[in-house]
Amino acid sequence: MRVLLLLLLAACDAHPSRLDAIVVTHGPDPTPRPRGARPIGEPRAENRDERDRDLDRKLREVASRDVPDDTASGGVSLASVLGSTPGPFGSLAAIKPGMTRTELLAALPTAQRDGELVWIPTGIDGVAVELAFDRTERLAEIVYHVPLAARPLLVGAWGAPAHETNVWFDPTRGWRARLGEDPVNGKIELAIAPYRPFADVIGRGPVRMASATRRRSSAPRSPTSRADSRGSTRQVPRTPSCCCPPPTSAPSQRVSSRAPLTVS
Amino acid sequence: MTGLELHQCYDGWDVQRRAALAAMEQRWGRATPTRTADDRLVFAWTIGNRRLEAEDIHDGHDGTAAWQVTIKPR
Repeated sequence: MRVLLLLLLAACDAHPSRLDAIVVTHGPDPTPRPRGARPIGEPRAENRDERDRDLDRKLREVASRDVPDDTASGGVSLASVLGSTPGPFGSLAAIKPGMTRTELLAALPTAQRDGELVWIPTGIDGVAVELAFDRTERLAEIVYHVPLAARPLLVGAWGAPAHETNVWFDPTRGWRARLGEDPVNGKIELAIAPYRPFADVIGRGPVRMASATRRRSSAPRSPTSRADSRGSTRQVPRTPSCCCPPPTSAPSQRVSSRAPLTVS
Repeated sequence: MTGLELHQCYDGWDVQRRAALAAMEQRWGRATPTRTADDRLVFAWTIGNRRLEAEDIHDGHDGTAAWQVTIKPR
């Protein structure tokens, strides 16, 4: 009896939701029978050829048919939710840099806590997301898992990335987005994390050191100086994509601006 | 607090290294290239009673690159 084995490989770089290949193998007929005989119900040779052609035609139809991706949930398209500047999008658009875990969970009722991670349904076709927090329970990173074909969408929505990088910055809102490609798994990761421009960390303009200036000032702090003070002393976010090596010494206070550089 | 160390990493491109140095010079003035007692090449500033040293700790082996700024009393 004919053995028909269909192997459906559903991983395809260009069309992740399309069948990549169908492999059909015809095994040997295990039933011995006299030459010229054919099993009951087996069509004649000419009919068998016709049936094979019909089977091949049906397989081609199946191979060309879109199949639902395992991450697709009938949601909206990625292009429709990206916005014009890099930052959290979709159901996470309300997230602000510096939010604590509690604040974020309160703001996103669909979020599910899983140990150190927070999982949130995105409602976006082919996109999953996970969130990570630093030791101070503040948001460290939002990692979107998106299909490979998403990169042109990001460039179209946010413009070209920074010079010779796969990083986008929004210094106004304080978000940076880093694209990490994973061709083996056919996915790319888009890691979005809060950041502060380096010039904001050390201060702008030809004046004395910002920390010394603030310490000597007895006037109430402006919103800008409050932000500087909080940013210069808070815990360093966990950013796996960061390029900073571990510090070699142990000064009394260490400040790290781990975001890739932008000076605006 | 007796000292402070600041790390600003960059993606390894010289344009980004220079941009970070430009931001520091914009804030603290023209840097002075100098050699430390332990034979490290740094950019240095003296502001009041503080000594600032910025060292490019670009590591070609693992691809990490960062400015390490050390601020200490003079």
